[in-house]
Amino acid sequence: MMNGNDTELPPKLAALFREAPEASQDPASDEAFVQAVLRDVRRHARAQLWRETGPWLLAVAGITIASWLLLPQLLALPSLIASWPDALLSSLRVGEAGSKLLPAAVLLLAVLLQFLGDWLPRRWQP
Amino acid sequence: MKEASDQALVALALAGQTSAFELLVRRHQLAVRRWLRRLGNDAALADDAAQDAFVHAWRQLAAFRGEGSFRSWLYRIAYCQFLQALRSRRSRQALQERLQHEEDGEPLVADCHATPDLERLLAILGLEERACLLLSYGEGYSHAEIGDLLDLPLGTVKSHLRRGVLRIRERFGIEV
Repeated sequence: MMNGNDTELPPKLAALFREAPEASQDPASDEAFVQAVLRDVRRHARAQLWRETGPWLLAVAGITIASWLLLPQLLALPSLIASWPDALLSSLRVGEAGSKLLPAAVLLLAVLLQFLGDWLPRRWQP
Repeated sequence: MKEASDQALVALALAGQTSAFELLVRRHQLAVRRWLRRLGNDAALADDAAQDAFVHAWRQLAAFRGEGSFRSWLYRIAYCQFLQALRSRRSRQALQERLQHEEDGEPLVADCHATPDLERLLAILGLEERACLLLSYGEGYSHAEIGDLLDLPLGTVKSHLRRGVLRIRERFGIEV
């Protein structure tokens, strides 16, 4: 049947097209399609909003946390300056160095988050 | 036979059982016609292209290797037939002009105050964007499958989808 020149449509198939059901109206699937598209459009809008504001929010949060952690050192700065040789000596001790490392690490983390918040969403674009 | 898979029906049709192909037509005709109607917003053109697609599928049935689904194979044929029908009727130019007209800021059916419905959504999209969005959101095909089906590179499919979504968002002013 299919290996020769007999490629004409069988009569029954032609009839199938003539009596084909009306295909234009399917409100349920139309609505499902529209909702699926709109869902993705809103997701896209949210992603863009996050891309635009996220890095700034992260940076502000990072700086706030860092400032809060550094506050004792900042408040103690005048007395540290007044007795700087003692302060210098104490800062060289392991324990003091560790306490100064934490704010620096937080600052570094804030910068890293700012970079990731700006760069990663672009990479994740569909 | 009604419970048989598409692949099994194709095998039966190739063996000479016309009724197996009839069953395939009954199974997929509605989906193909509906997809083409949405694609072109022209019922007559879509139905003609759908019919041509099934005729073509019947004639080329031996070329179906069963690597993908039968419906995907049909959609691919239907899309080619649809494009041919568009060209032969010179409707493509008219459609593109209409779409371009809308893109230039004078929408015929879509405006930012209207609630987006299917017709308004599709009216602002180009032909390939429509095809990609309909297959992705309407039929659930993956980006790679759409690429195979429409014979487009994966990156092009993704950019069509992204551009379509952006255009809908801008035209209808959709915010979070």
